[in-house]
Amino acid sequence: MPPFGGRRRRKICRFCEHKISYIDFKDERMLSRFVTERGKIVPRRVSGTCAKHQRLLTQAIKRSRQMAIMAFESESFR
Amino acid sequence: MVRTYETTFIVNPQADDATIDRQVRAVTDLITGNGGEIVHEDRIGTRRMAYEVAGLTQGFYASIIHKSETSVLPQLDRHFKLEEPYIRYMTIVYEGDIERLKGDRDQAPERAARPTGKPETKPETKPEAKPEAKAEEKTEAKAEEKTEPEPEKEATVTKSEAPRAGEADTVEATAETPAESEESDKTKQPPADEEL
Repeated sequence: MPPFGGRRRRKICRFCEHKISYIDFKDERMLSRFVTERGKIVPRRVSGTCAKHQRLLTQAIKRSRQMAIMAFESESFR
Repeated sequence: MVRTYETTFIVNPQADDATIDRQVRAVTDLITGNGGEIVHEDRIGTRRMAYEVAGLTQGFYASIIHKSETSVLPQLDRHFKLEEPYIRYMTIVYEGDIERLKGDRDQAPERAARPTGKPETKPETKPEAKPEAKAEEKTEAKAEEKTEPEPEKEATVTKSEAPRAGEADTVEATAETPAESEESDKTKQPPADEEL
């Protein structure tokens, strides 16, 4: 529940909406939307992702970090 | 047991194109030599890496999706470890749609031929000359109010270039109304206390 008690539109999982069952770890453009400026993975209460896709997303992001497609930590914050 | 795997690796981009091609083919030959089947091969190309690896900031990425026995995996690992040009490698079980990849395979040569990082230049369309000619005709006939589907766009252009006297008044009139509307809005806006 939001702290102000006001109504907030329920976020729909983007992957469920588009019926995506596989998240490619090479797709940096899509994965970067679920990562903060510092390079941290956004929690699903913020992104609105469902539990199943959040697990797949986390796995894809970690693989892309291993393959140097995405950074572990953004350099701008060092 | 036959499974679908995706092998992604990074090659040193400082080598020649022929050398890089040879290194990628070495991997595909290793897979096919052990009874595997290449489903999709994607040479992504040279791209900037997120962090420095082996003193390099760029790498040539390639991805191969193949159906092979599990016994191929340790051979692939050995090949990548012993050979120098391979910077990083990773093999995962591929869970995506294979049939969709087979359709993309036909487009792979076209994608490889496309230049990277350059915007696609749109071909010049011949009909551009016709609207310009029509715009010239319309500027001559401003007094006549003609309504046609295509020249309407040019007519708006001509109006912006040379506004008529009547239209200038209307523009000023419309300019006045936002100020009036703002005043009316101020009276209509509820006080800040009521919002809470």
